[in-house]
Amino acid sequence: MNRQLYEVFARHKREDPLGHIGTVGATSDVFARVYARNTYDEENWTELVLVPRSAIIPVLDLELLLDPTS
Amino acid sequence: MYERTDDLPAELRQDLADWLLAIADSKSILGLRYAEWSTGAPELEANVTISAMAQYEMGHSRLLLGVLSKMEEDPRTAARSSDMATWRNMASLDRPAPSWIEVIALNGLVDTLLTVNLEAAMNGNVAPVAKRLRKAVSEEEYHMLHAQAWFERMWTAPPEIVERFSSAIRANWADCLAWFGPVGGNNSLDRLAAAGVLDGDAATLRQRFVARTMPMMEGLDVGAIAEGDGWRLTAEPDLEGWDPASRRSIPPDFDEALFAMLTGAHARDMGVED
Repeated sequence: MNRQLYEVFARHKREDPLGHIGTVGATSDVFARVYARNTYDEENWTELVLVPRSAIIPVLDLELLLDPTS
Repeated sequence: MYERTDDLPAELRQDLADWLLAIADSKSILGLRYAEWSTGAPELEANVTISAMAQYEMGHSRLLLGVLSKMEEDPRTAARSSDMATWRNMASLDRPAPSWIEVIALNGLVDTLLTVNLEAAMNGNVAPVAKRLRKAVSEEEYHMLHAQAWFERMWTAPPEIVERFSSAIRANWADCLAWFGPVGGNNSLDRLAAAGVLDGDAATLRQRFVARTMPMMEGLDVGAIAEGDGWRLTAEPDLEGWDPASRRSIPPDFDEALFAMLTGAHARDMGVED
């Protein structure tokens, strides 16, 4: 079973921005939905969505915090 | 629409009270069976999920008992805290779930049977029941998804796991079909449906249960054959000694530790009362 990470986003009210609230690891989109629903259900969201981390396209390259040569 | 349970005719009030207790007791014990696995699931997210599902089941039970406690026909007596035979839970829940395999079988079958019943009452005409169940039914959608996802995964497990899973399903399947009782006979589900309290009689609810669970079976022969738009059972369940109030053939017989948890016996021993 290939387990992958999903990023979870949610908003309280329609006019609120969609914010990142956490991650879940799952072997399928269905598992990810169930896990996210049950892990992040303590607040009354109007929207709760998932994105496989593998689907995220980087715009900027991740900068290293430390110079490995120093 | 009946605005109060008192508005129902007397014989239907007793049928409704029995139905409420059968569902509430089953949900209470299903919640405890789930809770037993809240740290033993195969992955962290599954631990969190089964814990949440346990809380939902116990919450739904309290919701239904809240309606029942206002009815004169409430079947609960003082014996409930000392005599487990007075409980009304489904027979499947007498058995412990010794592994995650059995938990998933309970999730797919027992949880689904209970949801089929909740939906029937939500679409029924007793306002205090119907209104309270809307949120519960929406929460159950994710229990079904959980079962579907795990059933699919179980069928790809090694053969010894599939064999054990199949056995757990067959045991629960027989108990579930028996719960619906005689079809076309003396059955309180038929009376409740005729009065509009439930939106389906025993045959209809059983057919809904079969139609919802069979697509998860991956060809496992449990005694149901696809026919037209529905399913036909190849054999009727064994109803020898079936009791219409508890909807089972033998009185509940689960472990003492579970009974102590259900009745708060340990808490009373410590001087803590509910």
